[in-house]
Amino acid sequence: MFELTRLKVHGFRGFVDEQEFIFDQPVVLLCGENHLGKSSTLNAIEWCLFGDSCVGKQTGIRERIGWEIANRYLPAGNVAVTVEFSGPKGIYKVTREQSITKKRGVQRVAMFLPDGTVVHEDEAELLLYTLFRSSFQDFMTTVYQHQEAIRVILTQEPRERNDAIDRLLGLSQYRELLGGIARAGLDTILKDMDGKRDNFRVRCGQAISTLSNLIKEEIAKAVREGITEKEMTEQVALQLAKNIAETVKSLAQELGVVDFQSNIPTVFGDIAEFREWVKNETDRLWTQTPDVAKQTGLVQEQRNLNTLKSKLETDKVEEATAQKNMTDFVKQFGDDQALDKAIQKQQKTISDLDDQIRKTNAKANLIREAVQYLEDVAPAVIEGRCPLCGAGAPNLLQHLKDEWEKKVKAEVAELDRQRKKCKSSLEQIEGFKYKLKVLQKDLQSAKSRYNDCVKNIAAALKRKIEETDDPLSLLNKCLEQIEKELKLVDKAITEKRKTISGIYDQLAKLRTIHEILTHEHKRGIIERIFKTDQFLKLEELLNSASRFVEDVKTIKSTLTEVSREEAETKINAAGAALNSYFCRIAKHPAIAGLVMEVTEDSKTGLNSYAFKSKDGTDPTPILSQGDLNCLALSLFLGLSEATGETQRFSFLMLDDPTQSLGPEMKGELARVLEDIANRRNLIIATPDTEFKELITTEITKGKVVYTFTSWTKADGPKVTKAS
Amino acid sequence: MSVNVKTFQHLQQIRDKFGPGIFGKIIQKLLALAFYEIGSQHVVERGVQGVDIDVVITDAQKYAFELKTTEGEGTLISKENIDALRDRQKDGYRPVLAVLRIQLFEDWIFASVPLSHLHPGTVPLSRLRAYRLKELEISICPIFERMVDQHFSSVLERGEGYLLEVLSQKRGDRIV
Repeated sequence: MFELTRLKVHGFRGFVDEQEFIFDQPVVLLCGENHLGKSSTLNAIEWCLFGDSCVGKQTGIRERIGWEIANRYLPAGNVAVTVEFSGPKGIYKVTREQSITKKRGVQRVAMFLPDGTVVHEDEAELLLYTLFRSSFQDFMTTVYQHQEAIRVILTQEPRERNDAIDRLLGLSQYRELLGGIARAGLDTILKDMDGKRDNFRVRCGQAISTLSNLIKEEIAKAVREGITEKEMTEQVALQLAKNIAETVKSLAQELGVVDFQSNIPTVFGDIAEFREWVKNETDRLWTQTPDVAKQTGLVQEQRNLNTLKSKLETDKVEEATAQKNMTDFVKQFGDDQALDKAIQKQQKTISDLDDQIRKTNAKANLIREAVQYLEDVAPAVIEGRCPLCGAGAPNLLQHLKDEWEKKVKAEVAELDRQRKKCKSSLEQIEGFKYKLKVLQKDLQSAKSRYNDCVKNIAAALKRKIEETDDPLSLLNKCLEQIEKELKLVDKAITEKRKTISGIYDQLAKLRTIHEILTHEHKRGIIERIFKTDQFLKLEELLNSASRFVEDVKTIKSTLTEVSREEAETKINAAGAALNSYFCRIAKHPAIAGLVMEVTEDSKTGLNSYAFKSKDGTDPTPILSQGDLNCLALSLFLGLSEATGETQRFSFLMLDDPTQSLGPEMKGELARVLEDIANRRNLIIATPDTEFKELITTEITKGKVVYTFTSWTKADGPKVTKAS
Repeated sequence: MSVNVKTFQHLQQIRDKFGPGIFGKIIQKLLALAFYEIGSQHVVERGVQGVDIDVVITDAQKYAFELKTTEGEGTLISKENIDALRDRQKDGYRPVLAVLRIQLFEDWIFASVPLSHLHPGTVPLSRLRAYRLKELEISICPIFERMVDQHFSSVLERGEGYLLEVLSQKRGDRIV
């Protein structure tokens, strides 16, 4: 076991300069008022051993949340704690330091072993754990009686309470193993693995089913097409392919194709490529066949001549129509000359009329001027006498004026009417002239088209066409010749087409057999998956996984059993002490005795603990705060002894154990501690002067007392030592 | 290992025709025939109480089989099944759960589960994998397939009675 011998604290929480504590007596008492550094002294030991594990929410201690390690009043914020143990091979020293770098605390830990070896950081942390076999949780519940932590055992949820008691009993490794097994979820993993295999199997099954249905349909279709089931083999397919290849070769020879390369598949896998080859090759051979080429040429020529024939007929009709239109028009309205003559005649008449109108107008102007003259020079006329004869002639001038105007107007109107009539006739004749020109143009155009068509025919027939020739007859004669030639070519082609059709029929049969066999091949591949080495290996892996899970179950069952048996053994060992301590310290009138029981949690297989009075009832609901503290202390003291050899530390640390205890309880506690001091060193921190006196008087082992008298920011706690 | 597609289809047809109850009995008889085929010294196929099949392949290989067929991922084991196996174990037979999952690409699982690990209820097939008797499976499963394919038409036509006759003949042959 490891005995605590020395502690050096620097800069930790309330401490400033290095403070050393020597634990050279079985009982060490840390006394003084609150806030002077007693608990921090115990905390320093804890922090040195466990570092950050004893800080924060995960500790389960409320006051550890946001807990400060470094003394907030020191500017540098450096911390150093050294703990020294006397162990089986000599002196073991642990130092933990924290320095502030870039506002972050950086910890360094080192362990000095009796043989002079020094290990650091992670290696040191690992060594600390393996040497002391204690986690912070273990230490907190089995070495360091932390009031709040112990109270968890009595007040928290069953799972946490059971967890804490397992730790108290040194069974936390079993619990961790069992918890690890449960967290691993092996059953779920195995089920998942099996599920994935099953999904794969189902998917393969679906593929098999789909392919089987397809094959069934294809076979039925093949049978309808006259293929027997016996023919649906790779050998038949290959033989069929060979026959097709030979037929294609014969055809190529027959057609005189010189660049033909034969292709006969030797393995079933080449059939798909062969089918493509046959299709392409027959297409190529067909287009290269002379008869087919001739047929194509003749058909092209026939189509060309028919087009020309059709055009010739159209052009001829159009020319005749234009000629007739022209003849009819001339007959009705005259030819060019007649129309020109008529135009000239009308133009002359209009010109004569224009002269007459001009003359009439000139005469009218003369008379108008004469009347004006008379009005100016012959007032007698106005007075009603003739200017020539002087005879009385009333209104003579007016009479002359009216008579003249009437006559002139009538003449001019008549001339205008005649002119308009002539003009209208002239326009009509000019319209006829224009129409005649259009008809002449149409006729010319029709003739031109016809002549062009005849020229094209001559080119198509490759001969000259004389005026005396009938192009239509020439065309018809040529077409008849083509028709005859086509019939001959068609006959030759039909024979070859039969060969090609035969190839296609054989190819279709090959395709049907090939597709059926390909699908069967695919189905075979899927079926064989389950017989492959890989799949058998997968099966064996699943079997191994299942065996592993079953083995783990056996281990779990064994661990559960061993953990419970060990718990029972320890509880039996601690039971008397727990009962005795509680009865001695609490002296509860209603509780004659206390029993602790362990059972197996049916769901988790973990240990489940219960406290009972001797009468079988749960005592905790009737306990006062002081009683609960007595129970917590009794449990801690009783069980910490029961941990036996699993506990590597030879000391217990009690921090303010007399909270809520009455004077009588304190006395009994001191006497209980006297018993324990025979087996364990004790480090007790207390502000209780009464309890300090009780310890001094009741405990007979050697004692050293560190008294915390004051605390200042600058100097930290002031501590004095007295033996 | 997995049953061939053709064999699986035969099994499906038998089950579809006779229903799950009779199908179980037919399977039991076909498996018993497979044990005869591999030259077992002694085969007892029971239609009533007790384990379904006792087999003595050699003096060192004595098995008591409780047969189950299932479509799902587990099989239901009753207290009677466990008791029956325990009885045969007392007589020196190794207790074996023989489970055939009626699914494509599945095969027999012969699982020699320690009876202390068996409790009435549904046992996942994934768990039975831990206790497989692989060698026995490898020797029996192909023979079982052959038995199914060989007797398929007659079973489909005449049902369980046909197999009773075949088994009776086998027993007679063995006595001779």
